Amino acid sequence: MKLDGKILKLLVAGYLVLSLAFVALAWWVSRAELGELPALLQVGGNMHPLLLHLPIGAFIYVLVAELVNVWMGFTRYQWRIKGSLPLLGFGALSSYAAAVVGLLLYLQGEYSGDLIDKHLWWGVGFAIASGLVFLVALAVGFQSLVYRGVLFGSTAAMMVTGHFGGLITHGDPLEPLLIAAKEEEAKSPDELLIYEDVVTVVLQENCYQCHAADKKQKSGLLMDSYDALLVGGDTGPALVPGSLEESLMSEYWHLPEDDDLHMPPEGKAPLTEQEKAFIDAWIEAGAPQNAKLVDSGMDEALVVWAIDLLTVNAEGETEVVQALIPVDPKLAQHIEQVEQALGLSVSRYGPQGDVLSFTAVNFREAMDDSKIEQILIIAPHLVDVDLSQTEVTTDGAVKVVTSAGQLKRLNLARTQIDDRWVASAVDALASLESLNLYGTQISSESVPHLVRLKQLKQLYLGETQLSEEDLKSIRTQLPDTVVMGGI
Amino acid sequence: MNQAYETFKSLQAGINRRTFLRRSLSSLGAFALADILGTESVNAAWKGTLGEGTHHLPKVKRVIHLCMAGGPSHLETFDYKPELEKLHGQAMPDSYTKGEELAQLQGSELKIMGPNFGFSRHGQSGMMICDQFPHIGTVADDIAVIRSMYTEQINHDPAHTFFNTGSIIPGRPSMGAWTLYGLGSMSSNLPGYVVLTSEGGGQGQPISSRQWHNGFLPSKFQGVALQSKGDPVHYVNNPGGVDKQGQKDLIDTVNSLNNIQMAERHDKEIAARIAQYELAYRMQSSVPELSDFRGEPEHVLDLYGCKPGDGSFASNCLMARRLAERGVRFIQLYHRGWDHHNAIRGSFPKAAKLVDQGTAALIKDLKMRGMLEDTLVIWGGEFGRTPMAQGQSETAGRDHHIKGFSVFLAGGGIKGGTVYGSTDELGYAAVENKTSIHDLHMTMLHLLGVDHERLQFRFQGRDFRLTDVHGKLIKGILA
Repeated sequence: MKLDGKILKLLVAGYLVLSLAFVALAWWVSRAELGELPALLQVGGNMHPLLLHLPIGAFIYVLVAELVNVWMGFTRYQWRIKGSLPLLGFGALSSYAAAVVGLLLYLQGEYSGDLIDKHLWWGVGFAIASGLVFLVALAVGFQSLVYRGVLFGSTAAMMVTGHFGGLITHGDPLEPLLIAAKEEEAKSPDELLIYEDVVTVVLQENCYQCHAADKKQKSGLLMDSYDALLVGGDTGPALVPGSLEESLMSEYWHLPEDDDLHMPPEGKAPLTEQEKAFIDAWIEAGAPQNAKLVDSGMDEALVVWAIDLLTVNAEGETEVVQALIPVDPKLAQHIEQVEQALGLSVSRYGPQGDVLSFTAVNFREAMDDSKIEQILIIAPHLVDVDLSQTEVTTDGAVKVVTSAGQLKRLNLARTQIDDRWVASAVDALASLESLNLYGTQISSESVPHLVRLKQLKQLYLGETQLSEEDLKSIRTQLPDTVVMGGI
Repeated sequence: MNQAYETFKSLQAGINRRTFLRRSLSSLGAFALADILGTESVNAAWKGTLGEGTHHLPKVKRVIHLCMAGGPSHLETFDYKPELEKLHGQAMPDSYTKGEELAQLQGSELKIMGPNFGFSRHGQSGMMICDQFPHIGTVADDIAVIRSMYTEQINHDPAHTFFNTGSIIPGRPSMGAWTLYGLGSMSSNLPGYVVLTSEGGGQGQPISSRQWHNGFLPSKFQGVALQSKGDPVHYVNNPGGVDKQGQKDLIDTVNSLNNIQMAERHDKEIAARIAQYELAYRMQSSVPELSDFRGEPEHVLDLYGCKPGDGSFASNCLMARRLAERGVRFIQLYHRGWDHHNAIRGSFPKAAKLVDQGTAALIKDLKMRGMLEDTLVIWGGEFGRTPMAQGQSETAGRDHHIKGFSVFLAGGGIKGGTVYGSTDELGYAAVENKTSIHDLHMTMLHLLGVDHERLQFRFQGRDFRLTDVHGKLIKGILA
């Protein structure tokens, strides 16, 4: 088919103008403010993944056909696959269409980084080149070397474009090889960092596809750096150290899987329970950026899990890890132990939370001497002990005061203690400021012991066996103490 | 420590974290909060955002707020004004009232009304207390009176709202809810914040339950109102045909369903619901014990001068002591009867009589039992009353007044026998050591070991505090 020279000139001119206009459009798009698009344009953008495969199919067919023809040229056969202008035209038109909707998708602003820019410009180049292939075929026919040259050139551009697009959407196909290489240089367990070595691995696996620079920035969120997590996306920060509730990434992956907001989205594997538990625990603990895994105070089971996850050879490693966990008894655990055994009873005072108050108010009837052992583990921290109205007797109450060296307030009101307790406990009460013996059976036998507690600020002796005379004598001998009798 | 982190911990409601994680590992596929929550929880109570340590060492563990609802006249309680007596019946000087906001007296002729009752000195401090309060007089050395309070709202409900929440806008958490949010409950068998009401001796203005509401804090921090008369809680016993085990099974089943939902969403309200079910179940045994007054000896009942459970303020005071003994963190007693717009001479003594003995008995009883030293008692109304008379001489009363009034505090960290601040000669406006409600809140939190600036809750994008952006420590009343 030969074209009239005039029409051809017109076509070439039109093609050049259109190409220039298209480049200009792409240039404008690549610098445009990104943000909300009208719904219809968003739908257009979303069509990009569909349309982009049309020119690929068309051009791959033409390319393979042409390669067969090249191969045939080296043989004695005259058989050739015929070129098809309609197919080339379809390929060219669909590549323009794919490129235009691609620009719309870009305008949605969910993508960022070098890769997307490369993809954009190679895509524009391929679209223009595909038009050229059609034009050349039209002007000089399929036999020309020029046709062959522009065809090979444009399909190469198509492959480069497709490669970048694929990297953005599907990740690097070589990644398994890269990870394997990285694993070989794994750190020893005690060098592992919680964020860098564990959290990022989990996020990389589950989140980076849509939330990483050079890939996508869906909902404005990047997750590939600590700062990016803090910044978050359109709906708020992904990470708020110390706050599970405000850390949207945790909220979203804890949602039921059928919830629209559940992440990763439908069709992708959710995080495993251990992955969630690990990152949750990290967030809870204030999300330290540079904390080591092993001395973080994180639950040992999670530490073991994380190390198993990261080490190629899990065998034998767990033992090493367990040896690295500090065996130091911890106050919080001791308190937990006490409350597990007895019930709600311990309050932690002061910024360190190491000043403790104990009350048996929730389990008075069950509190007897045999239970005293349970609280001795926290005794050195106790400043305030309330055993009032319990079944505790002299023996149990003696144990408390001999182990609680910092005790400031002791309430034994209406317990079974007697004079023997006063006699044996007085020496251990050097720091005591308030002693409550209201409603006990103590009698005048205790007076000589009680009056040795010169440092006392308050002493409660109402409803006891002590007489008014006894109280009077105590008051004279303890002039700085408020000695309360009965009413 | 971060609040929201603590909030999350509340969801775990007393579950051992190590157990939690150990199980999560041993049953990898079946990891669910539901496994661990509920059935084995040690308690449904929460340790509060400061569960791992208060900001500083506390002086008190609990608060008992004796709210004199209606606004008792400071001029007939703790603020003795001899000058007012001299000027009785004369016109109120314009310099005081010109351009001032008044409640019902707006636009009327303003005449001075002298103190209707005598005052005398009490205790070693020689504190002047109105003769209508002979019993409170006996604890003068235990109380610190602030004569220079002022508030912002001139009507009852908003003034109560301000006194309770530090804001005149309804919907903020009350100070009791804030206290629980910060410090948690000490009791696993009773609510951490309990309210009782009584009335008599004057117009009983209604009190909205909004006054003890949790606002935007999780709902488990709201005050729970008990009945003052008869059974504190209705229907506390199981219905016929339901035994204890059956009831427990029911609660456990409902909670396990709730736990399934909670495992899916970090919803504080589900946690609150679970906690309330558990608490309600435990209250089925703790409340009958609480209201069994048989163990109270005669001389204690005489001290309060009441029949337990008779609905009187004194009975509520006795109940307050019992609640405090059982670990309740925040107790509010409202006595509705102080709105003496008219006939103050006749009805004020009635209100005073209803409140005087119970108040003093509570302070003495707590003191005898060694509990006053770690309790903060706050006594006072939502505002004071005008030095100007409202109505004709014989049936005259006093109008609402916000520029100066009196409250007293007693208990741990409080310097007994103190009089702090003063109003002007006519008792109109606080002039020396002016003390705001925020200052009172700040001081209360301070005594509880809490830095008022750091007890915050983020709501609708803003960090809220009980004291908003205000609050000065009332150093002058502290020991």
